[in-house]
Amino acid sequence: MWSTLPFDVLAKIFSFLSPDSLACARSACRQWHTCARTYPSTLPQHHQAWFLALPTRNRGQCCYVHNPVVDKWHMLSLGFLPDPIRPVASIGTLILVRPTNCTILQLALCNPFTRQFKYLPMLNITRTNPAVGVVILEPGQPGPNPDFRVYVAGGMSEAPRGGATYEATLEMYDSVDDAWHIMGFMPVEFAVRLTVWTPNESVYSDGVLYWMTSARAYSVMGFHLGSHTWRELSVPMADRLEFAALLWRNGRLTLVGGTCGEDACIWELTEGDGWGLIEKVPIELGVKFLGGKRSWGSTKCVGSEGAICLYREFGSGMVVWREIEEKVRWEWFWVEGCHFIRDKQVQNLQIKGVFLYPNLAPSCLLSI
Amino acid sequence: MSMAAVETKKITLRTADNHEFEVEEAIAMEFSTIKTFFDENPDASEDTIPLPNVTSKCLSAIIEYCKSHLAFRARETSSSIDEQVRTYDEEFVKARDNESLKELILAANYLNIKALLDMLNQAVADRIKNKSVEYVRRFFGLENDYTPEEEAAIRAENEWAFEGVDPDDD
Repeated sequence: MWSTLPFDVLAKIFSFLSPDSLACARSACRQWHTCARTYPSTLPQHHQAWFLALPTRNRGQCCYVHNPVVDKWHMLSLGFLPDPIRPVASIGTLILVRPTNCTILQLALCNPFTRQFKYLPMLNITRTNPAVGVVILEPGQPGPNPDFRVYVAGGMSEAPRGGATYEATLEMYDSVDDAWHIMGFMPVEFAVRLTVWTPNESVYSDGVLYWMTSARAYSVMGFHLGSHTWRELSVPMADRLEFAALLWRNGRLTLVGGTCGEDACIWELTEGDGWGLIEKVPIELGVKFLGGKRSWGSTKCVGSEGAICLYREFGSGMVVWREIEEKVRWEWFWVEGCHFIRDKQVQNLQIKGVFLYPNLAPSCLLSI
Repeated sequence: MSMAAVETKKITLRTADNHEFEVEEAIAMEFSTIKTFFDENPDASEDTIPLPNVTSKCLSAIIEYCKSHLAFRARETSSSIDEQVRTYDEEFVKARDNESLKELILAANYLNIKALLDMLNQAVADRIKNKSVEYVRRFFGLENDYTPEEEAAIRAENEWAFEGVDPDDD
């Protein structure tokens, strides 16, 4: 019967299973468990990224993931973490996180499915509250652990004679040599913006790292990696937007934002640094999302390769724009907020979200 | 001047249970294992190819599948053709029990027919998608060979996945 199926054939069947179904299948008997362990699926091409919600007032207890295929929420225990964390960005099947119990920036990699966690080395110049960004080298290459670089810009560091000063350096971590390198400097006023007004991670597009800054009016700062030069981009309706987020979609820098009483919009960066409106959140979804209110104030937004998600608190529900046909058709979906898991009520928590490709295979990258 | 009739080349295959099947060359070439064999042995086309790992029941189903898909591919692509292909694939799989699906998978793997193998693998994956561990065991005749301690450890490993699966309804 099936227990005698050769492993390479069984492994191919496993590669068609979503992570939750794979978890069940490999628990069926020793043969199947050994097969799943021996032939871990490389990142399956047709599987979608899952939304991961991390409570911000995080007592380090758990996080929540959403399976988009069957529209189901799961709870993942975070008891394995040494410190409570906040997600920064996602790197394929891993998330880049920072512990919240220390002011100095330290970064770590984490896979909540395999319960692995590993700190990156400390930066050359310790600093608090810098802007952070990730560049994945050669995305789309086979394998769940691509090479990547992390960029840290600005922040506040200790001044030579005591006190703190704005840190005008930019550092880069290279996963290939597992080390930080100082890459360059920036004008002090940029360092201030990157420290005080840049809560979210950067978006990499076309050789430039872009950060959304929100001082009075929103604007975008860009660092060109090749020439180490900085530039600024204006943002449509910059002083009226109640929320604004940068994403990468279909090879273009994408901006999502909303103004009071109107539809939330999605723009794409065009030639000549202009923004072209490409889509609006459908009215009925916007109304449902805001619960009848007119203000987009508490809205947050994240994206992955094939999806853009607007979210608020954990129980509020989410609006998702998802790629249905590759590069051809995107559709809007409503995702009900999570109120119960395993018949236990879940609090309506504040969350920070990232998209993640679930991977059940332990990564050697994270073995200490 | 007479027109010479174009004879479609036929290849002879012999199954594990000693049945011989004559198939058109185009269909035999869908089996990458056989195609590779002929690429390396171009003079062997008159010989009968033995397939010790494939039963006649499997081979006739596989030949039907390849014939139909070749015919689909010969027509102009359109969404209605895609729909017909999907319906054909669903029907091909629907009536088969697990044992015959498994035999087809092994045969398609041995003959290296990627499209058929992917389709069959997806079909099996769909049958165990979102089901409980007990259901998966019953469905595939797997014996739970874990000790209670091991079983508890395995379930703890992926505890998050075990809630909310479809109820076992048989």
